[in-house]
Amino acid sequence: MQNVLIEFSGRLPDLQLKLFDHLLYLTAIPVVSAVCIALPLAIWARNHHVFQAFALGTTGIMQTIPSLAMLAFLLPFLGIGKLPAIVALTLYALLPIFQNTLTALRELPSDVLEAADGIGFSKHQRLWMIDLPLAAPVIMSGIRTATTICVGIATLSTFIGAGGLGDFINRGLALDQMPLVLLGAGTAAVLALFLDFVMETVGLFIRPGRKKRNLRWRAIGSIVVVIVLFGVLVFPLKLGSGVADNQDKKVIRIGSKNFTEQFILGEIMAQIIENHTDLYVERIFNLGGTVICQKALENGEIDLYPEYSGTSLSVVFKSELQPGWTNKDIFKYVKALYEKNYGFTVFRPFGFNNTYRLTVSGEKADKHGWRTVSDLAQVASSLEAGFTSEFIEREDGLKGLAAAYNLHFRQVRDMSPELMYKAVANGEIDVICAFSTDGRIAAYDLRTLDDDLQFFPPYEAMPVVRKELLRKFPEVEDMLKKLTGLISDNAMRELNYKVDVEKVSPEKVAEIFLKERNLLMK
Amino acid sequence: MLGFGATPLGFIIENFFVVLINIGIYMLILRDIVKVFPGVKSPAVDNVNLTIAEGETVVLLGSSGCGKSTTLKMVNRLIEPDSGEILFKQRPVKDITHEKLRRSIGYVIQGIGLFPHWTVADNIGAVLRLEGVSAYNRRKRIHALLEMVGLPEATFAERYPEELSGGQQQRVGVARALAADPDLLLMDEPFGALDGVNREKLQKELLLLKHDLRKTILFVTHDLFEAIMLADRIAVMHNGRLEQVGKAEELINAPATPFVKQLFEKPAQQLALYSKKKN
Ligand SMILES: Nc1ncnc2c1ncn2[C@@H]1O[C@H](COP(=O)(O)OP(=O)(O)OP(=O)(O)O)[C@@H](O)[C@H]1O
Ligand SMILES: [Mg+2]
Repeated sequence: MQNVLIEFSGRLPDLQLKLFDHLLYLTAIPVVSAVCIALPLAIWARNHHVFQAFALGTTGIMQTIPSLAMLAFLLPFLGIGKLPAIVALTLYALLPIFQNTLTALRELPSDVLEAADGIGFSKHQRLWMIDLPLAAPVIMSGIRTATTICVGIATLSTFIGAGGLGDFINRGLALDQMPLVLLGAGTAAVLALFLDFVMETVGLFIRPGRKKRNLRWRAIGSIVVVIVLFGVLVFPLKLGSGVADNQDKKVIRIGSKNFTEQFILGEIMAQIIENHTDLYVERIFNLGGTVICQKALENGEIDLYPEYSGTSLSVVFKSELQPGWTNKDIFKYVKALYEKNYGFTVFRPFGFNNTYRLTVSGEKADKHGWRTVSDLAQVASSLEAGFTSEFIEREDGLKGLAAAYNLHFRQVRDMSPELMYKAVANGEIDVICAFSTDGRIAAYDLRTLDDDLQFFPPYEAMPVVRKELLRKFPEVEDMLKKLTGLISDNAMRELNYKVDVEKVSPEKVAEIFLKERNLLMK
Repeated sequence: MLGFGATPLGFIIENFFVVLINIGIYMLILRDIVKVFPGVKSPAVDNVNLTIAEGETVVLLGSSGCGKSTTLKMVNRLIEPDSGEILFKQRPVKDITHEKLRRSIGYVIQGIGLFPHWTVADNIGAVLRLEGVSAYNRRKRIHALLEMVGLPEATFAERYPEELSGGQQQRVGVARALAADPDLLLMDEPFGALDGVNREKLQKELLLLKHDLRKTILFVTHDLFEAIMLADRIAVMHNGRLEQVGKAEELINAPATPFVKQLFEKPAQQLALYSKKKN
């Protein structure tokens, strides 16, 4: 418990920043934008029945688009960061506000409206003095719904590097650290409750008629909540050291995907650069995948990130591995394409190859003498496999593998990575698809099988960098070159193990590693 | 009429007089008004002709759904007639903008329709506010109006409509219609929601008001006794048509149609007594 508290208190400045982002960029701005769009639209639509149906339909459909899909759709147009998140959240907030405003306006008491018309309100006067004030409580409840939706969905925009409380959740999930997940999700839930309470109070206050006496306590409560929220946001926990000084500092941005190994690589690059140069590194970790990182690099939203050669080949350049290609051939191929198509360059790999490996328990490997995939293929028809759905679907996954080795399992189960490792260790299944550098291979005493026919393309991690950055800050090149060939499969597996199993933070793990190799001054 | 009608010159002279008389005397003229609601076969208002002199109270009397409210609403253009013409102080209402017309005609709607988010004072001052009357003058006027409709300012001015009884709400509705001191008042069953005692009280107050303020009133009701009590002339309406227009005595003594006859037959005896008492 004490550990958890220390952990939390250490994260307070970060929490404050993320909460600020979450509240301002991912909730307030989208909701206010949605109000600015939905309100006039609903007022106009009130007398245009065809448009009503159309608008309700469109906004309704928008609501049903899964949030991640929505972010993916916007990616080609808006890239990563806060803007696409704000746009997506605004789209989600539109429906409840539009719907409530329209309903409220349509269901205003007809005798009141007739009286207003009858004694000579102009259209404009009636709208502002009668219609909107009377509709306000219902409109307000629409805004409340929109706010709750935004606070919730905003946790997902971490996948496109928009910040916010979702960073904690995503990081916690990636690192399998429940306290982090709880920190993010809990804070988001409390935020949602707070905002809802305040807005409900506002809604009660703008209800027509005399304000009830018991509202006084709600009002006081709401004001307290607002002051607390405001206080939490402006209380000088960190004195803005990171943020304010950035302006005069030379900043470079390092990206990473959202799993342990990427965090560690990102940290290693960041720390060696910060240690040896006067550059300040902004860490845009946690991005939701290859496509997102690539887009971010193209847009200059990040300057570099670690990528795997095989992934560059298949995902970025949509090419296939040619027979007989060595690791070097692939490296040369993708490097040339990066330079030609995007003006990026690639540095020599860090040294390890994080490829798929069919993996079995040490016990079974010893007992049956399994060393290679070919060994396994002979008895596969009696074995049960547990693979991730991605592996099952990929051409360079099970499909190709089965053809290359004539490999056919008795049964293939679709499993999540977390379950997969435990299940094979417990003997519930016989074989899984592991990543060769996964820390859990050592933790569960598993054995990887040699890919004796060299089916799996190599996935050597290497820094992909914008050339512009190197022109501006040539010193970065020397730093990245120091990392060439530094991390072996085993070393990477250990680093991952420390984070995944021993729950040491990626920052710390990277620091220890660099110190051991005498790559950090002082 | 005046006896000149037989010669062409006489015709011109007579019409000249008619015009002269109209200018001075008629507040409202409805000519051949027809209204058919879309999708409804029979007209809601069917060829209605009615003139109301300045200072006169005409009561539209008829059973539910006969077109009384529709007729009234065409006067202040809440509903536009399909054909026919309405003159308000000799001007066709369709030449007057909605807002200008409505602010110069007081309107008490059938459902009262007080603004629930405004206090009694704000409700009464609504038209004055639209007209840009200063807060000070508005307050003075609201004070006077509250006195007039018998609601002490100290008790009622700051209340919200939901804090009033039905009768009090209707008084506020009447005060709101009187706020801009209009020459013409349209009142659509203003006392509909009241019990007998309160209704009679308000009717009497309205009579007093009428004499004090010299307003022209077009009053709608389906209550025969209310009509007789308040009306200078009664216009009996049935299925969208005006059956007969005249003083109560005329309608009782010389009903023009079977409907009017039937309407006045049963209570005729009591009426005779009542009108004697009234005079
Ligand atoms: N907007 C409308 N659309 C269609 N029909 C209407 C509309 N308003 C009124 N009517 C119809 O026109 C007829 C006359 O309505 P109106 O409101 O004038 O009746 P009324 O005499 O005022 O009745 P009540 O005493 O019940 O108020 C009714 O048959 C009614 O159903
Ligand atoms: Mg009516």
